[in-house]
Amino acid sequence: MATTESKSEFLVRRLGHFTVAFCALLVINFAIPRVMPGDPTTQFVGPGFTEEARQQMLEQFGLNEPMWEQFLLYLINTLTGDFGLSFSRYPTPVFELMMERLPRTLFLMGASVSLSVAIGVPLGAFGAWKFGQRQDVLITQGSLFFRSIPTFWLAILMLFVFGYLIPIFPLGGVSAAGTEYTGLLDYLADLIYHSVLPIVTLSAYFVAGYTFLMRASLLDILPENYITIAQTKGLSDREVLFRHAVPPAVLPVITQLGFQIGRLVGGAILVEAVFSYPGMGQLMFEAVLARDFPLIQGTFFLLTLTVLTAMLIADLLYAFLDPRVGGS
Amino acid sequence: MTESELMNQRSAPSDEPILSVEGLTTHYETDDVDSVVQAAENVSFTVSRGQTIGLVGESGCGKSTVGLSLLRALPPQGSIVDGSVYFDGQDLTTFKKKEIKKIQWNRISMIYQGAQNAFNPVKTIDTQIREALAKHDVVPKNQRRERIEELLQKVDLDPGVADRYPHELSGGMKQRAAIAMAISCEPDLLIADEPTTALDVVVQAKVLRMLLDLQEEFNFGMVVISHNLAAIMKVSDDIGVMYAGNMVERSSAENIFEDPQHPYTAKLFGSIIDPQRPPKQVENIPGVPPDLRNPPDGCRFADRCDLATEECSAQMPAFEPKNESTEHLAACFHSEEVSR
Repeated sequence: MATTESKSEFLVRRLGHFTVAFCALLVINFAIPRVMPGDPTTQFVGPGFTEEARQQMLEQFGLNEPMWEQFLLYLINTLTGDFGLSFSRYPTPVFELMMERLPRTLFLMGASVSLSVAIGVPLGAFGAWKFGQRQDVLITQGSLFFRSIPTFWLAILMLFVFGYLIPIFPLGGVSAAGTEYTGLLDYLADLIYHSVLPIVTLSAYFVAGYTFLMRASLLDILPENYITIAQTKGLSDREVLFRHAVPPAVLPVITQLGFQIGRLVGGAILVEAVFSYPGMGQLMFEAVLARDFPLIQGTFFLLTLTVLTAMLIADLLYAFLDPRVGGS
Repeated sequence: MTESELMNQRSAPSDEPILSVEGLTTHYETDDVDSVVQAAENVSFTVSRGQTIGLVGESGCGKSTVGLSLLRALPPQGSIVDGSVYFDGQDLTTFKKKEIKKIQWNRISMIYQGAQNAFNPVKTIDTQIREALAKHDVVPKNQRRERIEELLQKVDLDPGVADRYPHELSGGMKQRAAIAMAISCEPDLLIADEPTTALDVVVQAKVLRMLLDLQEEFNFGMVVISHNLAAIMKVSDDIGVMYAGNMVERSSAENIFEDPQHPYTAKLFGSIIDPQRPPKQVENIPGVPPDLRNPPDGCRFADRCDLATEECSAQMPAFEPKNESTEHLAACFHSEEVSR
């Protein structure tokens, strides 16, 4: 399947996709909070909350303005990097709220994803190489187990075992109440200590995905003629595996990684909830509950933009690694 | 050392066959522990330098199994259970894996069935040929590029093809590049498994011509495996006809064409589609080959043979000289009755 498209044409086409998707994201992001049932005043509804107070509140948040005016304002602000002030934590800027949570989430998710790629890819490759043998069965069954159990359940189990029965890790949060840090190193050490259980929980789930993907991909490659030829060229098993089988097999993993990098900023709502881990997932969850429009828009925007960018990078990387994508 | 000097040194003409296969028997394990697929049974033949033997037979008759056995490149389920493969005087069946790796590609190489996938899609042709040269250290590092371009030219490809990726080449080009890779280390024996099967007729002829030219130049022995009888007759000095894992007839290509001694061979010739003959005369051979997990005791072709008698089903006929010629062997009780 020879392509007539050059690498630069591919780049332009891919950037075009990105632009279209970005515009769509801007619109959807504005629409989502507004089509949800309820508005920022919903959470205050109670005996003492009059319609008058509600209207006053909506007025204050600018939600009584015509839709197109709101949209225009939102568009200008978003494109200039101004995410506005949070409704539920008025008047803290959304940006500030996100910046407080983002580093923790990046750490939690980054560590989990790196760990799971580092373990899952070799594990899957090993399983495929030993296809049908005891090692392969063990890897497949183990991955299936960790892929099947709900993460929040595993999280609770981890907490119960390593936080309560054998209390070697904290029960939640990112720092004990009233902790004062003497420096960055101190802060990081405490963050790592508090993040071990959530990272292990998330990794157990992610690893299985990479294991399965790599195993399936390699199993597709191994019966190929060029693998047999590589073997009879006189190469050792190890050389055949690493030089000929893994490079083409790892391509789908890169695409998968693109998806997952996007989730780095999104956090993991369920796991963060169990471990009371104040990350982006929790922030998003709170924002939705409070119908905090600016916060929803801000967090969703950051999340989707990261996904788009990561996918773009994954595709470009793919084109670089696979000569079949975009002819030279 | 120039190429021709190198060549002369490696392939001194001799009557001693470069390859001598004696009673080769290869089985494949199945999921059922008690049953094996008897893919090749008691196969014998020889090849000298500069000579070609063609193995013919329908799909699943064990031709490719024999080819892979010669190179000790059987899949994990397959193993040589009996017989010997003497290559340059040494029995390859006794070699350890490490030792056989030094022979593979360097002295015995192979053109595989399905050249469309002969190359790794994410590596250039140069990288993949270079790998063989480097592994067996046949050319000094700084001369490898030169050798690769030379090889490509030998198979009528532009030297620039070296820097292309496989998907940028046509099927015929890939096949030629695969041949270039197969002869890169100047092997003493080349095994070509269905070298022309996926190609169109014009390209087929070119590829066969090319193999003969290369053989003349490099003086390697060649085992060509094909179900295309017409193609194989063109390139082979000897023909070995295989049926259900057995070699049923072996002789010079001329003899076997003029005077087949096994009914299966005669039927194979009858099934050649020849534009000069009306289609009605093209025969087909009714029935299917036996299950190789549980082959019959007697002649394996007996069920499909017009000449078969009780004797045929009772015992396996010996593979013995026919026609007062020691060079024409067949395994049939009724050789005299066979006619084309």
